[in-house]
Amino acid sequence: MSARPGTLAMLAHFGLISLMGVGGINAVIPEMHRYLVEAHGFLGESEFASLYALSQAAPGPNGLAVTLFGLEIAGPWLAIALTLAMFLPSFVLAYQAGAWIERFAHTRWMRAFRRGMAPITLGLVLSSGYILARAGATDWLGVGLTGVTIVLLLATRWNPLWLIVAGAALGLLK
Amino acid sequence: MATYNAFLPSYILYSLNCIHMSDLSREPAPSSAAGFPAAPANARPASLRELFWCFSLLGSIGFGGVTPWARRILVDRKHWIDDREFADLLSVGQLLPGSNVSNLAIILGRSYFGWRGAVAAVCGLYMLPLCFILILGFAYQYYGDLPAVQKMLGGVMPVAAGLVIATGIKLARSFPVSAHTVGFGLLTFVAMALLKLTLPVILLAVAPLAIGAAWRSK
Repeated sequence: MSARPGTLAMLAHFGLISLMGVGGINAVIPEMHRYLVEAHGFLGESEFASLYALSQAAPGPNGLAVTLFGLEIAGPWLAIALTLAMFLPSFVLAYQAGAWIERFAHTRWMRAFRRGMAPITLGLVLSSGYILARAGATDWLGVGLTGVTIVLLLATRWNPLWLIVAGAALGLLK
Repeated sequence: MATYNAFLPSYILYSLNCIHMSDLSREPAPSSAAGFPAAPANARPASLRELFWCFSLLGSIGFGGVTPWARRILVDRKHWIDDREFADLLSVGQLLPGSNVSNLAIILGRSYFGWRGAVAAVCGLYMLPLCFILILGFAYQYYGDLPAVQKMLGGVMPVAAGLVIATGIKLARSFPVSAHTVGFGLLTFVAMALLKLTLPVILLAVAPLAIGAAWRSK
């Protein structure tokens, strides 16, 4: 574990991550984990996974786990600053480039970009799953819950919220 | 907490007013004899306020994926865009970093009301989720150490991991099986999850190769 970066360095890093999240939050969870847990120890392994799990209980678009990370590391101000650092750059990019990209979406090089990035996004999403599953697999119940969730989500059209509620209930009963 | 409670009832009232819940659970019934939807095809939000509330409704109902709800509200209910425009906007949203629904909100908001539209749509989308997450976060700080809370989260953690993995598998199934998908997907996974290289390094190294290969194959 190297010397911890200051707040500004952390915000700058999250601003950078914001622009790399092609594929959404789950594509950048592994990098957040690497930065906050592995490299600098701002959060513990299971703390990181718990906060991510907690963020799943909120409605709306995914991605606010970063707010919880900030809140846990240094309180409300960092939560707000980190959230802005994580969202503003990609918002500005969407505002500036959205109409432009829309015009060129069907050109050959945009199609190449999309098809080229697709497997990278896939690799990153599966990395997220792997990192979170490893943190949750402290016993056989954890391993089983991950497996059952995958099967149910692929085989049924159940709302994932029920699976989260069931997970909480099973955890409590254990 | 008090602000949240005071805020919620009017919010729910508005939601009920804005959209009938039954519309969300079934395909829209054609409302005219000819089988066409009642609203004009080129409907648009009347005001910044309508745009804001429409996206805030979206932000408040989408558990585990907002996209299907976005389609139902924007295409079926509001008729602001049609299916094709929705698919186009979504694929543009996927090319940009960040959640594709928030990118869609920004592009659509901008097209109606310029920068104020983009701000209204995206603020609407994140307002309730952000309130929700802050309440959860404060609750976690106060009660997170209780054994019961730890146990519950211990059960939710593996489920959340399973949700992410299932999302990845669904994503994988939507691509044709090719050396490109498997090769670059695996390379990225090994570099990120196992070797723990930094994301900027991985993108700089892998993205040009993957995009170049996709360019040459077509």
